[in-house]
Amino acid sequence: MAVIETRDLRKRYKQVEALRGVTLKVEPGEVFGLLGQNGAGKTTLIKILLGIVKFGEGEATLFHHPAGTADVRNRVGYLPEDHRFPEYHSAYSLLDYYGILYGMSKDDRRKKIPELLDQVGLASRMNDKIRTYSKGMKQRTGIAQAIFHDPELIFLDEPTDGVDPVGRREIREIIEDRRKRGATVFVNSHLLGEIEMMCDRVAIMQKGQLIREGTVQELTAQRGVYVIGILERDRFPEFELRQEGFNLREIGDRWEITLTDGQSITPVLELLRAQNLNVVHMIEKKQTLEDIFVSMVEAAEPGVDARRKRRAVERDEYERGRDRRDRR
Amino acid sequence: MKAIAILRDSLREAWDSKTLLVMLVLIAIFMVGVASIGYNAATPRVVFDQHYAMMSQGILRIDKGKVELPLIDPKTRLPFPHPTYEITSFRITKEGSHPSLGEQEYTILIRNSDAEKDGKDKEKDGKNTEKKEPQVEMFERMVAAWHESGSSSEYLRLEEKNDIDPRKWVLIKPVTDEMARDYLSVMLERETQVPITSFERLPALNPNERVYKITTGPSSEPRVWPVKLSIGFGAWESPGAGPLGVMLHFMQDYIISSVGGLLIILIAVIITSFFIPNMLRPGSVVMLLSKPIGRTTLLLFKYFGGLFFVLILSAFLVGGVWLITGIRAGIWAPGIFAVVPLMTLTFSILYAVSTLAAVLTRNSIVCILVTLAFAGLLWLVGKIDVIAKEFQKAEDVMAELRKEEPKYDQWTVVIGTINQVLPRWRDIDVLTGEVVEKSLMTLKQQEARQSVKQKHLPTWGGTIGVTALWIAAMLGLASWRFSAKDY
Ligand SMILES: Nc1ncnc2c1ncn2[C@@H]1O[C@H](COP(=O)(O)OP(=O)(O)OP(=O)(O)O)[C@@H](O)[C@H]1O
Ligand SMILES: [Mg+2]
Repeated sequence: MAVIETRDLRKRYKQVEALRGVTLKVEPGEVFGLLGQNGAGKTTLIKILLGIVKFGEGEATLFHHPAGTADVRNRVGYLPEDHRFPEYHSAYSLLDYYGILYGMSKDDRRKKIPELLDQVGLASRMNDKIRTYSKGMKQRTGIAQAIFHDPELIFLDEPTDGVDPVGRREIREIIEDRRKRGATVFVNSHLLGEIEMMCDRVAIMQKGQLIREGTVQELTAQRGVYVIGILERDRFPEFELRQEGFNLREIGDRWEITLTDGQSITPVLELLRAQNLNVVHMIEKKQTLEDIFVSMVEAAEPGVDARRKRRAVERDEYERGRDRRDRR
Repeated sequence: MKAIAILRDSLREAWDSKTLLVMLVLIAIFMVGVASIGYNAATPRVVFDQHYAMMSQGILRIDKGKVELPLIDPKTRLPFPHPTYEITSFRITKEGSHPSLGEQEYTILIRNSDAEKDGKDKEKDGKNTEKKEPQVEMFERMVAAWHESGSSSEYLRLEEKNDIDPRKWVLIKPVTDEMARDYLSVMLERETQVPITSFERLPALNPNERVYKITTGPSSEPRVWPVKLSIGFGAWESPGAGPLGVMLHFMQDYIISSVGGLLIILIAVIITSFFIPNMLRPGSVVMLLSKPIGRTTLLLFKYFGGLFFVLILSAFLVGGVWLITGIRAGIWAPGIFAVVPLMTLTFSILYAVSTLAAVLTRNSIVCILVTLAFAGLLWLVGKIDVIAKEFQKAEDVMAELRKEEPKYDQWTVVIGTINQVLPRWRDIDVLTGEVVEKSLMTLKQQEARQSVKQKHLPTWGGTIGVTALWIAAMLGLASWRFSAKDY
């Protein structure tokens, strides 16, 4: 039984087509990550599921109920991106207010608010006005209000935005904790490393469409990429290796070797040893979600694009810089 | 429960921004001013002098005072000749425990206003010996008009239909001293509740003058005995005196309800116009909309939150003023409490406009401007309507004297209709004044004022109904927009 289910969801703002047929399923107990460039439509999707934005065509259900009704929202927690709390509240009074809106009893609120604020590290400041909080503290308040009423489904739109590294880890722990309690978590983020650490399943959104979906393992499957560096005075046996059919690429003063099916790195090492070359650097490069993301996004968008051009220019500049260094 | 939480949240917002506090402090300062007003009973001589000075104005009272008209020549815009009254001797025959409870004896000289003027003219040039046409006694005509019930032509009639010059009236019956006593005693009682206990005509020096010796007894209603106002804890005292009820009515209805109330409403419009746009700011509204609460409920209770703000302010103002006048004047009239709900009702019209503007534009400044413009429009239409009605009333009276159907001006009808269709701000004000007045004055005074004003009071049902319809329409539109919008 899916917690979130959408079928061919479409949304059009006046000029922008924000969603162009999104079909998605999130199972209970999953931590689901949605990746995508700025303006891909991630936030729009969440807002539609909460009824904050009305969708055009398609279907969207949460817990098999039509998305966006007040009843369904009762079972959902939400941390919006760029949120702004009424500044006349303190973290405590804000949670108290929202608790009433979620229909929590007074005793329940009184017991849970300090606990929760302690969990997000705000206990000592909970009676101060939110306007005196730092950005990260506001973000923590936002996390707190999203999980306060023990929702079965939690939407987090850029949850670690503005939070320091320790705080990020704490937030990851909170998410993990919620998952253990049986909640389903839906995270939007640009921070691919984080998504990689937190999520079971990931989808990549591009211009309002899902272009790839799968578990993190599936997406980051090993392809066998190695980076080797030798002493600067030595010559790298580029020609020989190419002849043996290896796929080489020079990156700065190192070389990247991409193995094809059936190839092994051993012959390369043997050749280097035979030529008496000193290997000073050698790592097996694991493909990160970021690589996947960038390659997916580029593949989905083959035309020449400002973004690509910019990257090409940057690369040229880097090379030129290296030439100069070499000459010196 | 959720609804109450939203209300409380609005109050927290108002409290946190210090606006509520500042308003309460301002009202408190205003109340110190109200508390500085003292009400000191006037002496009988002042009261009677003032009463007859009032009587000496050129005002025609028809049908026992049910209709009052200024006696002004439409051609020259000058007053027609009319009777003037002057106390020539005055004596307190018995002191009372309160100035209103004594007994007095005085003589009063009644003559024509132009006689007075002629006398002065003569003194000035000394040789104005030209024979004037014989004067008619205006007092008799006033008394006859007082008894004339309008339609019957029992006591007097007009020579020419369109000429209300009192000199040209024809008396049908002689005016007796009984009739004169009736006129004078009703007028005196109306203002002071002092009864005339004996009434005697004395011989006059001139044929067109009258002299009466009058004795008066203790007032039946010391509460309405005229008082002098002192302001600033006695720093300034009013020269004239007015009945306490009328004074308090003036203060409660005019100063508190109309001026103070209007000020509070306008300031509240400005303050509360920030509430909903604040809630609708991009990062904030998303937060609220994700909560399990309907958008209409959210908006409505945010709206009620604004009303609550004004309710608190008006309750504070009115409660305070009620307490102060109770202590200072000894009058604990509850009618002023009507100001609280009615002021809130007036505000609720404006705040509905503001709410609609907020949903449509999300901009506080636009909300304030639109709301103030709407308020200005209502005020203007109301004022024009009042003026139009005044003209129409004069025409009605004239038509009655002419024994003709009154003519209706097209514009009067148009502006009247517009005024009926718009939210009834002015009517709410009139009704508020009415409730305040009812509880402040004695029945007799009310009757008198009622007949003077010959009010066509707006109905409660119509006033509240039309207003509520407007509010419902504006809030409906706002909720509909709010519910359909993407945030
Ligand atoms: N209220 C709105 N009115 C008009 N266009 C909108 C509105 N909200 C979003 N859009 C447009 O819809 C597209 C998708 O926006 P969305 O906020 O969903 O992107 P996102 O993937 O969350 O981006 P980001 O990573 O920057 O948060 C964008 O082109 C945006 O300009
Ligand atoms: Mg977004």
